[in-house]
Amino acid sequence: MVVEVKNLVKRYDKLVALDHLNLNVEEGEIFGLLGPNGSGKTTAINCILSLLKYDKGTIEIFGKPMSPDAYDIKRDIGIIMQNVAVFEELTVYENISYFCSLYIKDKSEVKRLTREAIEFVSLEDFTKFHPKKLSGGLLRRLNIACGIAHKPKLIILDEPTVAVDPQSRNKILEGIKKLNADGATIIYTSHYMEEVEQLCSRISIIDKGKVLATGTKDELKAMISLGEKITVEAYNLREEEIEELSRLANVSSIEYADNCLEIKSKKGKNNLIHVLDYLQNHEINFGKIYTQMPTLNDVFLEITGKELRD
Amino acid sequence: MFIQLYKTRIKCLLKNKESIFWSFGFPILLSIFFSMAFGNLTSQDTIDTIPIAVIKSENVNDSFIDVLNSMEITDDKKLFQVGIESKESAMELMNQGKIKGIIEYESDLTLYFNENGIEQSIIKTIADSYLQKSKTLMNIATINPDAFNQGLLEEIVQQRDFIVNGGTGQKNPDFTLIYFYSLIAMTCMFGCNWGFREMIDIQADQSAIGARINVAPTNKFKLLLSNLLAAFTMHFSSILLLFAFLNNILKVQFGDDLGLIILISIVGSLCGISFGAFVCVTFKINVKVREVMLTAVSIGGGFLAGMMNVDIKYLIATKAPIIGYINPSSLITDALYSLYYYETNERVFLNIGLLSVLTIIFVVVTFIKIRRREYASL
Repeated sequence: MVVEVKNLVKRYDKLVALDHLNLNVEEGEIFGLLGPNGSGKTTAINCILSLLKYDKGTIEIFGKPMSPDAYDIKRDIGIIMQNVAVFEELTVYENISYFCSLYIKDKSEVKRLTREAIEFVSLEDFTKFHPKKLSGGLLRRLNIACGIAHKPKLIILDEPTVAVDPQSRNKILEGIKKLNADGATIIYTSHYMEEVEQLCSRISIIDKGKVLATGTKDELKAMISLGEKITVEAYNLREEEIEELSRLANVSSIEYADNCLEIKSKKGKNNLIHVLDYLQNHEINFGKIYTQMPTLNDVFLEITGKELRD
Repeated sequence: MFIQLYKTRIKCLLKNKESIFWSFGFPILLSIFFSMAFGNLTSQDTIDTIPIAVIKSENVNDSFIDVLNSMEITDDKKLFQVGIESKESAMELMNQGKIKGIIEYESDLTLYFNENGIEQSIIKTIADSYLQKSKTLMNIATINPDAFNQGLLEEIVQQRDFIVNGGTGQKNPDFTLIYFYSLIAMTCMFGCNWGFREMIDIQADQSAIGARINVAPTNKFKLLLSNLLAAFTMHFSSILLLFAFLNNILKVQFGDDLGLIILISIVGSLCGISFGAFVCVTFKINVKVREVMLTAVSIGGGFLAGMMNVDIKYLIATKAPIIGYINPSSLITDALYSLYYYETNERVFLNIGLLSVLTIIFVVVTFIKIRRREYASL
């Protein structure tokens, strides 16, 4: 186990930010911490890193208790914060080199690792630039390079793609996969379910400081009753037809507005075929049809009754 | 590693244009301004014997001429070179620039000047003083003639020296120096901005950079020491540059003890830096508010030390001396002035001692505050 958090409780006066939180991160995985803003993701990370005091619970990293003085543990951790944390006065190269030198004593090793980190985030053309001259996406890449230059075994990324353009986002996500492929264990926090779904091998859904569910994305989706969403472009549907459609097998809810029929079905086989049969048999004109498998947002919605981005 | 951290930090600070301006540029600009304002007052050799003319008249008595002739700048240097002239020739001499002013003694004293300056101010002050004392004597003679038998005359005509005892006979008291010394004091206190910045950058609850640094496997106090040493290097360089500029370009006097000047600068710089660190860790309020506090203390302290008006320094010294003892700017100013003026260094060491006590208090409180390694909130 790379990270083991047991019954972590963190209070800010009367507000319980972490409520008996439990997490287990295994070696070599990309572990996602998914939850809406204010759910406790960053607080959990700050406690894991021994930046924040907590009221109760235990945290072990690499099998040892984590503490502010646990330098042997810290040496193998890389952190990419939500806020860009670089010196405005230093160039791209100098920033990466400085943060790398906090971990590595050998000067020539620092140089080598700095160059590798620059190459990794594709900032070769910007080494002499100051952060102010970089775009938001490039700045995020610099932030990542500062966190991973020393080749840590555990990398924690706290919402690294906030306010990043799609091109840079893809670059960042590809980079994270590569770091993982090179052997690093990753903890990735986000409120973007698409990213977590695309990236993470295991996910914990967190809300109000509690872990609501943990598993692979398929395991999480299997936990809910929702099967698939069928969307049909249908014209001039009558009330009784909508009523009959709602009585089809496995249909759990139905909505019709602006010629768009949305059917949520429970888990089961041939849900789409039943709908198509009905439309054909009743000679209902229809246009596009598409189906969508449940997302992590649906999982979150079913567990908490609210959207991830509420 | 320590040297590497120190070097990087120096590089970082060198590129902070705003801090560089306030530490290196602003004090020099202000000193140039002061020099322009008090330029002819800063040198002790500025005041030479002033040639004047007294217009021949029946009202001019010998005692008035004697008073003017008896005034001295130093033992062998008279204040006035007095000539008795007709009004026309006196005017001609003044137009030719051979005399600085004319005194006409008719029913009252009338002064004629072609220009305004320090010499004219001195002539006017002496004339006013003479008139005031003459009138006082006449009034007393009318009311109580016996008073003269009781030594009143000697009491009134006696010239008083208000200079504090202990000054060297070789140096004129030059209060314009206070402006320059308080400027140096303010510059020392500008070190608070460096100290403040270092503390912001090293605390996880103050900045994202602080959080990243706290996650690294580097001893926090080693890092703090390297950062503060870098800040001190920068700040002390700015003080030395200011000293060099004042002494070599503006010819401001500092006394002869270079070692003590450097000691005052070192303790002053440390006091400024530690004060910034102290404010940063003690007051957990908005960063901008804390920056305003620092500016208020560094500039306000300079004001109370006499940077804008020398009288303020003496007002504080007489009415609220405790403020003088706890105001680092006052202590630095006083240490420098004592070093320049007094023959002994007791007062210099007293000021350095008090500055050191303040610095130690700031350092100890800062240390206690940042000793905790985890934060209650970020």
